[in-house]
Amino acid sequence: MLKYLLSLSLFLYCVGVEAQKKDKELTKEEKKIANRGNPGIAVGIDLAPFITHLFSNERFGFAADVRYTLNRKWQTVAELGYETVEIDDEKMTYSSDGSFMRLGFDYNMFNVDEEGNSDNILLGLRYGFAMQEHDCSRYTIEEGYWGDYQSMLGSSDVNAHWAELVLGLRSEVLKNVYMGWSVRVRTIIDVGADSVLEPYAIPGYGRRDRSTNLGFTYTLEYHIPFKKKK
Amino acid sequence: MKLRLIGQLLVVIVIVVASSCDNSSLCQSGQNAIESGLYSASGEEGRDTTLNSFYLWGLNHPSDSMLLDSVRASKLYMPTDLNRDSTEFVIREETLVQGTVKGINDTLLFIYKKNLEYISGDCGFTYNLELDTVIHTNNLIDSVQIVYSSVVYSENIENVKIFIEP
Repeated sequence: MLKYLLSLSLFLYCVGVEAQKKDKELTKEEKKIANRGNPGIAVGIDLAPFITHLFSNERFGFAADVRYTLNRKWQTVAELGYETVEIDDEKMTYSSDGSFMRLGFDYNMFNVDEEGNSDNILLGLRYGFAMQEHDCSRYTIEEGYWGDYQSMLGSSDVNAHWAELVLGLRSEVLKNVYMGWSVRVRTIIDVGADSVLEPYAIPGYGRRDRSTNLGFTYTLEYHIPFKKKK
Repeated sequence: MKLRLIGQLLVVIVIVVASSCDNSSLCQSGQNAIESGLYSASGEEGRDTTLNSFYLWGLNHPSDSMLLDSVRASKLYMPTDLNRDSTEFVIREETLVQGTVKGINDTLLFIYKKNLEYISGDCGFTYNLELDTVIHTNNLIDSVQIVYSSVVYSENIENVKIFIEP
């Protein structure tokens, strides 16, 4: 829950900053020019895994994205990353190592009504795929009367597929540097495991024991425009 | 202005969704115990019974500790030994006959198959059991019937009916 509160506080800060911008009425022609969009390709990193690590220190990961802006309305996105999980508690000693890829598109719902505004309000969809190898070198089942049972499960591979709905904001904070937030509702399509061992967390998806997960991203991107701004 | 309004709407959505998704799981213990009910072998079928001054312990338990020690009992929770595929218990009832305590013992042997199940990252693993056979002596017990052979995590269903001699 804390990670969501942190996200919200930072998010509210951004909304507040936005509110301070002075609106200037544009003519119809100026609006048309302002809404042409800024086609180009952007590369960025997602800082959310580092924030997640603060509150869930058994998970550590890294993610990057490539965003191809086709026009003012449509953007295609590829997100790549990896995640490791290390757990050693009274229930089990578990480790996992895996990579993920999310592919999809964003639709920009924002109509610009001020000059030089490159903000995006994005609604998008993603398909996610992850491959991971994990093992449980010890698990303990507590039995108060006869005594605990201990055993282990060897290394196995898991492939997971999921879909996610994306709602986010993206804003140009410096020339060609974009900061973006998104909130994602993720739902599992399939988890193919070749062992009784289920993954604790799926890279790029989150905790496995929930069939629907809430996720967030906080991206910093550098945009390379195809055309110079007039 | 539009961005600000939609931003606020997003905040509300995030709060609602975040609070609805934060369902931390509660782990349950003692989920590998066979649930048994005591029934009278005489009279109406299925009439439950209560035994006074009842004892229950696991046979060959390392410290011979008691599960039930001189209690009134009508239901028994019998934890299984997960290191083996069978668990043996002794039940005993003591009665006062003409000023002297008289005890009657019976032994119950449960044979089962174990199926490992992953519960969650927080709760770890458990063994679900499939009861195969119950073998018992016939001093206090008249008969034993398996009514629900699965011993499954988070289920609370009677597995075995133990019919007591009248």
